[in-house]
Amino acid sequence: MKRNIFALFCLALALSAYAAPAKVVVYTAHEDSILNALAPRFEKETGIKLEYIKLGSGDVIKRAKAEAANPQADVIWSIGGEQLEAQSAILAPYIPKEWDKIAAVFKVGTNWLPYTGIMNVFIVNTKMVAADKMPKSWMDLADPRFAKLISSARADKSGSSYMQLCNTLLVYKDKGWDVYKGIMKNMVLSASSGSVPKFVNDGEQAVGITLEDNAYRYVIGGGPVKIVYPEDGTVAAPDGIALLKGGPNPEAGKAFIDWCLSKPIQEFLVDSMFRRAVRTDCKDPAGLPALKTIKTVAYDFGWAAKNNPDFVKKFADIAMELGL
Amino acid sequence: MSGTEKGAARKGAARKGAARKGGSPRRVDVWTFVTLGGFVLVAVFLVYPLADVFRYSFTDKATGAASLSNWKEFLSKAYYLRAFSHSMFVAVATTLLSLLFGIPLAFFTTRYKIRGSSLLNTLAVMALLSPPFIGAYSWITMLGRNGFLRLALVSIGIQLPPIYGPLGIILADSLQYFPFISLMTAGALTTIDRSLEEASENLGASSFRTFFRVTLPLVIPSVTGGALIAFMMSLSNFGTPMIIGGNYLVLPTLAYNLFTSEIAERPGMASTVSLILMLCAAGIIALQQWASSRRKYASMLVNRPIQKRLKGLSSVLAHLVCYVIVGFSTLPLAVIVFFSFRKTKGPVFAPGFGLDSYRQIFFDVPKTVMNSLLYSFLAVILIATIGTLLGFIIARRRTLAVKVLDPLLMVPYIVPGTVLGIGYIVAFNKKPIFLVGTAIIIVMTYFIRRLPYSVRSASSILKQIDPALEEAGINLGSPPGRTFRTVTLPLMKAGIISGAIMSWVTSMNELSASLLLYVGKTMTMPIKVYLSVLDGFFGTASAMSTILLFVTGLALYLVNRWTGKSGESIVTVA
Repeated sequence: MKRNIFALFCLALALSAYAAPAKVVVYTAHEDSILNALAPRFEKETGIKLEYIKLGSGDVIKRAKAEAANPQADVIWSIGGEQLEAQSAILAPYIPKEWDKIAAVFKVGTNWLPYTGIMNVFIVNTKMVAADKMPKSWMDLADPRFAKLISSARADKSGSSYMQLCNTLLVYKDKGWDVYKGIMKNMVLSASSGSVPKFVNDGEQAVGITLEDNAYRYVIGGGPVKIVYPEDGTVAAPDGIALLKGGPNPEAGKAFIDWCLSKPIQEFLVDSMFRRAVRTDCKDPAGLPALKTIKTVAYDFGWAAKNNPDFVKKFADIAMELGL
Repeated sequence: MSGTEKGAARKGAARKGAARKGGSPRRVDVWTFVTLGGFVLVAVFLVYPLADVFRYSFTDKATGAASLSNWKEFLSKAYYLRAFSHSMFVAVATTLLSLLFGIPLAFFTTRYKIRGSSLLNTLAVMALLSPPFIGAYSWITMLGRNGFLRLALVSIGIQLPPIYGPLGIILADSLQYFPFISLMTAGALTTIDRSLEEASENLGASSFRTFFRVTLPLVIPSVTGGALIAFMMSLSNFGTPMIIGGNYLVLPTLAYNLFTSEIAERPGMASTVSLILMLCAAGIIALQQWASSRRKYASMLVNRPIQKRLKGLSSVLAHLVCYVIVGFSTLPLAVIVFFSFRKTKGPVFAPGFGLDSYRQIFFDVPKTVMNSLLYSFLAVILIATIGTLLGFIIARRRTLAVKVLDPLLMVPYIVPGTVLGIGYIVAFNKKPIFLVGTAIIIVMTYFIRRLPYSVRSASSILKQIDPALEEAGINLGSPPGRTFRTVTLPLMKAGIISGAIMSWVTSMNELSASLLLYVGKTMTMPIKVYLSVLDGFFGTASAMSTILLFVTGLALYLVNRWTGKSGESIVTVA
């Protein structure tokens, strides 16, 4: 009987280990819809097998760090830049084939590479918030009229929420924490950043702090929602893609990065995912205001990464104080 | 695992011959190896990973030295203590509400002829087994701020308290977990001696009084056994409070938040919260054991209770109670199936119906479904074989070693899935055992989480089989191994198979541990559902859940055909 069990284990091993000769293993926080579109396309166009592991962005970093002695993956795909910046030690620098085509504003070094341009926005339920009561700025979100009506993910867990926290600090400098704490008093924290616009769309929460492309999907889906660009300034920053140091398939990893930064894929991301391209030769997403008409704030990744432990701790302390 | 286990077993067996203590003298036989195998299994897949959790809890986060700093912090901060009291409140309230749903359902379906009672049972068990995340989200679509049920109630003038927070968690949990109580109580109600109730009624007690003074005390051990499981499930449930808790933190969500945000190298607070969760669970088990040991009733089963046929108003009322209870617990499932067929535009539902969601998951379904089927199948093979062998030694070979092994095998029962997952990630991604990222770790998780149930179920089946049959085999010269194969096993077959099917269903729906352990190629159906819910794609989540529900329903139907009782074997641990 024991022998049979052993044989079954071998069978399980064999089943889990069989794979095509060329493959790339990727950790990603991408949403399913994007993975479902891009994964088969990559495999078809390059003949390289793509194995992706989808996790929350915090978990991606945690996993890659935990495995640093014995890396299981080659590439981290679509993770907040400041998180990559903070983990430079586990990343391998790489200059992609078409580096000269990347927009200067998004070039942040070669430890990790810009992948898509994202922006912080508010998604507002138009049935719950009258047109004249819309929040216009980060400051507005701290107004008591939004008490327990603002949905956000946790800045100590979600990469995009951390960027939104930093956004507030960058705009309000010394008073930044006061403003953000005011917003936190109004927050109902969500389990993930992906569910924030969903809750607003469903009328469960009035306002969500989210990323432009996430919100826009609900607008074109016909949901009762509107996108607001905070008039006191929004961070426009690239999220990143990076090669892991000592990954099992480095060449396939590089090929995957080059493919992700190629014009067809960047245009695909603009067209179907409503992200801003990081290349100079692509258009703005259809139906969204041009980047230059929005008040943007420069994002200092070094600063955001360096202060991450302090900011996250401060966030956790305030969350604890407010009982979130 | 098997290779090392055998090696260790062989070495150990040689030593054991000399150093045996206690029990009647017995030569080394196949059961000695099984006992040793059991110890190796427990040591590698339970003690080793949990020891890390234990160690981190008593390690200072800043200095890395042994210290009680995490415990001091837990006990000194209102934030942590509040999560503790939230957990206790939710678990106690859920248990009470589950009793309120479970006992009447059990009583009516066993004592009176209720039309469609086997369907009611199957539906309740399906609700019980569905992954918690999706059920919690369906409650939001029904009773959230903008939920259709709430809006319907508001339009006729009924205002409800908000679902976010403790009320929502308690509602969702108790409607999911009450079948633990109804199934176990129903099992007891069909086997108590009817003469006792008749005696009470002959002495002039009303049937109401008889129920509370005679019937209920007789089934108390089963009721508390079911209540215990409901309490434990609610205490360790992570999905429901995560989705509808709002800002109401309980221990499992606190542990998860701490683990995913804590500076990764020393998850001290997360480990401490995990240990506290396990301590609570162990305490409650001890309490229940103590309570039920004070009441023990033996019955000769000469006079089994009969099912009465109710007439008129009382029949209508009994039916109403049963259908309303099961109806509410099945409602989230109905919502899921309904939403899976709605038209979608991206993440937004559009008017009308279609197969959009099913089309969307088509790319993932083949691999994910295959994974779920394969892993749970492999796990069931392990559960059925190893669980049965270990169940045998526990029922039949009470050596000192077995007496030590017995409680160890029950440990997974008090380990929340999240905690087991944390332990496995930490323990199996370093020397000497690398398992993170393999299918084996998922299979082992399913296996270990289910082990206490299968061991208990096998040993309780054996307790109903007269050992004289086996002794006859051995007296006739058959060695113990062959006796087990040719005499005992055939007698246990039906019980093992129905238990195996239930194990398969629970493995198919396992989420909380595998969520921390899966990689892309080992994605399973419940994980896919969870990720889709988190991304806001409720349509695709519903479609995947509907497939899962269909598979679960099919399995339950098979159990029903095999044994005539749906789902009792999932609750046999107490």
